[in-house]
Amino acid sequence: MPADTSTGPTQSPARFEAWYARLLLGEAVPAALPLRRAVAVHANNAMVAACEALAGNFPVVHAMLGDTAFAALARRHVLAHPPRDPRLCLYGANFAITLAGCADLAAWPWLADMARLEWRVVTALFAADPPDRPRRLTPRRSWPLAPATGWLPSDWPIVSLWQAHQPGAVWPDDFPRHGELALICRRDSQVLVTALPADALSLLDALHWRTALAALDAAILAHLPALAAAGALVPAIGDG
Amino acid sequence: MHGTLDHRPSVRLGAGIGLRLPHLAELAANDGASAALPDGLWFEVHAENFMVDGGPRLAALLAVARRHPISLHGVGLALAGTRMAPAAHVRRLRRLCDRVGPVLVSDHLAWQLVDHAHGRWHVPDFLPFPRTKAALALAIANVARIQDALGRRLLIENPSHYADIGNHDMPEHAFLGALAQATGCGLLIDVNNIHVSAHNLGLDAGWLVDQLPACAVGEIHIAGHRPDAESGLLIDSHDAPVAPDVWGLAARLLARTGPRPVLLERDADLPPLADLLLEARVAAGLLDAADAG
Repeated sequence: MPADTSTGPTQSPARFEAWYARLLLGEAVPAALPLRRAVAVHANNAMVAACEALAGNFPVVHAMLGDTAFAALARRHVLAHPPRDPRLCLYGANFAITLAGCADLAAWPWLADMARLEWRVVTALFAADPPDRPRRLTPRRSWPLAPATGWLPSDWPIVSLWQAHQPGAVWPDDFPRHGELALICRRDSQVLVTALPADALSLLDALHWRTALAALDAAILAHLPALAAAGALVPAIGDG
Repeated sequence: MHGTLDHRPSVRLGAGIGLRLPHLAELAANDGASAALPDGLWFEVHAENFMVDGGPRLAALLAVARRHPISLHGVGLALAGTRMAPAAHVRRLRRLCDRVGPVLVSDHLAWQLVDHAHGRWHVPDFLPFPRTKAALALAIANVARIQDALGRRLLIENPSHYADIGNHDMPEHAFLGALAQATGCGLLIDVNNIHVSAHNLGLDAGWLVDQLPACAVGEIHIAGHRPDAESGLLIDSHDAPVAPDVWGLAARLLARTGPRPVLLERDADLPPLADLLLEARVAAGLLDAADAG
């Protein structure tokens, strides 16, 4: 890579930014040692901040991989998908894509789903609060999902794996041999991740599309109390 | 907006503490903890951590805001950039201001948006620029736009420097003074940044403090730094107690400005809140001296 011996454009902020951005991205290396050091400080600050945000938002993936492997993957992700939003608490929407595209992780095929699950935990944490006033339910209306509610069907026992990595959790003797449907919701200021029966997915999809309760099969509606108890639905009162 | 905005907060602020998430959780979990906090204690938070739709973190901040004055310190407006944060970001900041009712709102004099092969990169750091007349005009337009959007005065923080990038038309104190004069914004002077920059650029930190437009200073930051053994640079790391030289710069600036809100920043290697309170008492002592002077 050729050394950049210029001292940068003088008058135009746009030209200066373009020049400095090339240095920051490593597309050119300043010839002057002080500038090289300064660019390295800024590049490192930016990388560390983004990697720390990923570590904070994906604690289970971090725990599964360990510090060294996670740091390498976080760095790869930052280079491919740098933060676009200054809110680093919401950084990492595409982390699962980075994990899924990493051939070295083929022996851990559930990792991408774990990243998807943890991203839903992040979005649940910062989602809008449900309305204070209970919604009046009638059979002709749907029962709205709470803003924080999300779900993830997985071919892996993703809920059991997630729960086993929570602080203070008891490590199970074994994990289920089947996939799990994860429900992510927020109740009493806590984000909860629970496993639902696989056929509850139909109900979640129906509520997502605001299907009237009267249009749902009784077998599907049977899952409604579990969703309400988990805090997955907005507060509501029936009309009898 | 041209120099007409009241730069004093509605309540007189003394020494405050940068409130990071572990301590926020501690405060929110124990209402009684406030009883052990000194009167007049105020907190500053990074605005972007709370620019969300809802949830427990925002609720905890609102709970603390009911008991203590809160300052919102932004890290994403890119006020010296040719491209600023998106309009949606500014609207979120406005909404957060409406909810929290902050006594101060601030951000940094830096640019942050870089074109990347995969799109835009909002660099989570504060990038340097030549202090040209064109850069000053750009910063004035940006700050005025944000103040208009927020309907309130901003405080602008001086950056840390790690090299002299050259091609300046004016020294930093002149740039800051002209920005404040043209927009009515205030200055948030981080004396640790001045100490770090002076070391890295071979300048006299005391002289730099003496050149600042004292009347525009609306807040002072103090923080720790660390040396980088390989490069010999001082890094504005916020991961250590405030160094004696930085305390000296704070006292020197306060002697010129009179009492101003002083904020202790600590972002990494976070000690218990009680330790930060002890360190903030030193700042309170400086303010008492400035008041008496």
